[in-house]
Amino acid sequence: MKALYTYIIALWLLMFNTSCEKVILIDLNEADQKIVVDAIVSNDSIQNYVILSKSGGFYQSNDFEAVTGANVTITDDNGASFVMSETANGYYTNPTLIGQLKTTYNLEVIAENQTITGSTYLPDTTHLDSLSYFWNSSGFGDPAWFVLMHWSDEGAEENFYRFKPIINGYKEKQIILLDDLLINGIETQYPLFDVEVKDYDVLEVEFIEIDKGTYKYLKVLSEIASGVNGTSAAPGNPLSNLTGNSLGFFGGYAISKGSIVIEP
Amino acid sequence: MFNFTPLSLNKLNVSIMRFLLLTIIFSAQLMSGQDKFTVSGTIKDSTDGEDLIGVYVTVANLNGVGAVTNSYGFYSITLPKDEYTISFSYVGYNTVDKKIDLDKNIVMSLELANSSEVMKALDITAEKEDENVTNTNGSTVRLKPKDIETIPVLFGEKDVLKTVTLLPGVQSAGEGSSGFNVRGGASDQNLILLDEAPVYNASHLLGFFSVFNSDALKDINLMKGGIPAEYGGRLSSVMDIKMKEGNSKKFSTSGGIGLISSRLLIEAPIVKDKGSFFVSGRRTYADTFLKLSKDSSRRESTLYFYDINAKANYSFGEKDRVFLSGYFGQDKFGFGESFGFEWGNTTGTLRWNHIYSNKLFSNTSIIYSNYDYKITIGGPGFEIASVIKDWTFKQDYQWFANDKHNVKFGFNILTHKISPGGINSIVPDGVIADLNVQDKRSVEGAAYLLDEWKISNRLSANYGLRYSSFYAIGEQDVYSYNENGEIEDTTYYGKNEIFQKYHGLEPRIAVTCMVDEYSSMKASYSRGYQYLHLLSNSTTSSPTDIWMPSSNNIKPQLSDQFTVGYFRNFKDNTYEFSVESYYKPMNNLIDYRTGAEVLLNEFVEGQLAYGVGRAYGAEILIRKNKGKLTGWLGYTLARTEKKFEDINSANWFPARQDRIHDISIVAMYSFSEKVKASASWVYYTGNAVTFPSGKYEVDGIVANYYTERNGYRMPDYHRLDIGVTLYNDKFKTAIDPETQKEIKVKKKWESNWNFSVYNAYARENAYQISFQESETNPGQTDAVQLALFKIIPSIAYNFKF
Repeated sequence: MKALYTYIIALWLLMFNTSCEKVILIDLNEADQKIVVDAIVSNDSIQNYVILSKSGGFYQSNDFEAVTGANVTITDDNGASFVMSETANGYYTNPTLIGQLKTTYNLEVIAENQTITGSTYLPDTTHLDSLSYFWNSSGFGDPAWFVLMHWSDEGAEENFYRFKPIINGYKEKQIILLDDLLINGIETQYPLFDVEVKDYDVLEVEFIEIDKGTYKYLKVLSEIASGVNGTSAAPGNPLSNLTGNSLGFFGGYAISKGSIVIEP
Repeated sequence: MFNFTPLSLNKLNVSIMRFLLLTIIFSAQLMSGQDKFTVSGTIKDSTDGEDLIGVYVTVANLNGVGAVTNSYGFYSITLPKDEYTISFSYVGYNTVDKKIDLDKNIVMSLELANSSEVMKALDITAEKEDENVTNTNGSTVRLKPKDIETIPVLFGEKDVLKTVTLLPGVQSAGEGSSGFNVRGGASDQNLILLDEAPVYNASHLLGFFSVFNSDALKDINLMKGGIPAEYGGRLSSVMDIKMKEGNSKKFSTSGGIGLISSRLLIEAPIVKDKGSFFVSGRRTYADTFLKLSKDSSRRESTLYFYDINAKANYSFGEKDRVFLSGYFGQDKFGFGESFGFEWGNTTGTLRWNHIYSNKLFSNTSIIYSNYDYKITIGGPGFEIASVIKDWTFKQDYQWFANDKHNVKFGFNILTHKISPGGINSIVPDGVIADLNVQDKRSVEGAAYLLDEWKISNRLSANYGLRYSSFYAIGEQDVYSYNENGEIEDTTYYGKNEIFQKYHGLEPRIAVTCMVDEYSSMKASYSRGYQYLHLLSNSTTSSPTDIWMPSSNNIKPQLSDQFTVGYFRNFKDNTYEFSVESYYKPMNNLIDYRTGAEVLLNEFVEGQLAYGVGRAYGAEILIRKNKGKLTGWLGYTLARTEKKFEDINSANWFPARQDRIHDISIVAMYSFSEKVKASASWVYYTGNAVTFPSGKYEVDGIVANYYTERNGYRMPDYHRLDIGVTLYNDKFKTAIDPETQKEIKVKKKWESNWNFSVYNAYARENAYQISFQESETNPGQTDAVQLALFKIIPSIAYNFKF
């Protein structure tokens, strides 16, 4: 809905051509630095990691200070325990950790005299069936390739999704999320909005099922990400699934993949 | 009298009402020691037969005795048997004095003539020159559309809502919004009535225009505080807008052609002096220019609105009169076949005036109000639709008890049906599962009694009591939530089954004490309950904002307002000065929890947070009403803060509409009868906003880090608008057929050209500030300000014949 609204405003501006944008300097406070946890457990062997960093001042460059020398442990509810070792500054991992579906994982981070804990669940209800594409020249937006994802949503429970498009091996940065409010229990073909593909592009999609806590965190994160035009009346920090005086989240990703080549 | 309501009113409250009514009747009886008679009637305009509202009817040699005509032009005065000179005065009209021998009840209906056929100096004055000082309620402003004719506005579209925001205590909710905030209240706390029908969304085209077409309006009365007991349902203000009746003397047409829209109004008698009607329409056509565009996507775009106002009235004999009025407006926005978005209001009011006796006036109304929006997506084939539907039955009595007491009482029953929205496939095998949020139904009932009491020559009061009640009824599933906003319990309630009740007493009192002939002190207290709430999740007013009724989860909002003020006029009422301050604590305010999902959410009530608020401030107004130069200077110093358990660590934080300084200067200068110029300048402190105080990286994304709610300010806003209006000659020279002398005769065709410049010095006022990665310096973050308007000139041609 926000996109729609932005679109209307944009059309208004186009029509009357009266607006103008400029960079201004706003005096912002500098908040105390906080530890930022960016932790993922997934069923994909290369996507299990904990990145620890610190927040920075708003006008600083985007090189954030790493948190090194922390004790990081992930356990699952079957009793398995994985000690995450620091393989690069602030990057903690363990090659034996591969997320199991239908399993709850618990994270414990001890860094700079602080303990941060959290837990996440890897669901296993739906999977991507296939991808398709068509040439959309209906007039709503510029003519372009439109990619559809096909899968069947589970009707009995709430499902939450995140889609990660990878175009010619390059992972798109944006956070694309969906809940099953409008597709509950149906065999759906859902368009991958805001993803531009050209002729002969190779498009891979990571179709990720997530739990509610992860969804809620990512949803707010996507709204406050720097670069998003903040029309939210009162932006706030996302509600994290971590305890402790920290920022960030612990996400559980149940990933299924698909890929397609756009042939005109 | 109050037993008649299908809802069982609380017995205690009914007896309080009865007691008050009896007291007034009793005191009225006490004073009638001798033979008394009543003079009553209706006052109209002599040229078009419009009822004149607020005409002062005074009695010579009896200081302080008199009456004011009501919304239907009716007045009544009761006096001991004697000879009197009654005088009828109304600003802009010739005062009429009538000698009467009051030895029986007299009906005296009059028509007043415009004091001058040339344009009068522009004034938003009260009806009597010193009304500013003498009237009971300080926090009230009355406007007539004629008064705002020359004030410059965006695209030359004169607009009562925009003009109202130039007054102290009333703030525009910002550029691109017709919303306004009164004394720190939220924009949903304004009760906007069009011929008594509530208007749920007063804006066209995303708020750049209001839905009120000035041509169709007669009278706008804005109450910021000390709201009389006859009004209720919103906490902060009442904007009571009345449509004109239509010319009952002759057929007449008026209209205007502007840069982006045109207007036309037709009015005529149904039967001369017995009934009349008008129909008025307006449509924007800016989008037709899009068709000329080279860009195909622009050519296929639609963006326009239109609205229609219509009204008819007819008098059946001396005592009965019936009015039927309506409004229909629609905004349409679309993109070829693939996308459509339309929204609009519909209102209808059927009224019956009956004069039971020369002292008792009654009005019965049946009112309908509807607001809906629909979004159609052509490609995947679905639509989203939402509707609010209200029916009201309203009975009001006005009893002109005697020369000291003017009593009003009545009751109303309001039903709401809110369908918050649903999404439905409009093609077979759609990709979207249909989703419908359940309808919410409720009933509001209210009864009131108030007395305008002239205690002495120096002291007057308007006091009263309103009892309001609210019933949330099925059929629907009713949810209760735990503290995390998750559903704890679901209960089904059948059709018309009450699942939640609220009720309360709303005492209202306003007192004026004359200090001397030119100055007065005024004070007021009022309490109000609000049972409907607007949930808005964006900074701009959006057609998709959702109205929510109170429920088991949402308690009614409650406010108390205390005001005190000093009013003084100078130099034979040429200058008016007033200073008024207010304090307004508010309870059960609503805000979102972080990350709330509002649209199409069945469980939205679980995503709300509840808190308290406080607003306080002082308003200063200096106004010049006479002479070539007229206008005003308004200044408001105010704070508005909120406190929520779950927001901002339970600390007080400024509300978005917290505007510390707000200045407006409006000046109008009449060079001659044919040339008038005007200018307005506004300045205000930027709204309170939440900006980041840091940033961090997570999931490969740089996110903003927020520390306090609304801890920052938008840049200060200021803007100058100027306008010039050129009138054609209103008179032509003719030879009087009888005397053969040259005389001036009024022309049939009147017209004027209006030129205006919005934002004359091209100030780039911030509409939005976003934080994004620097284009010139990657890895750095910039604050980017978007301004909607630079300088906008416009031209309009208006006519009347």
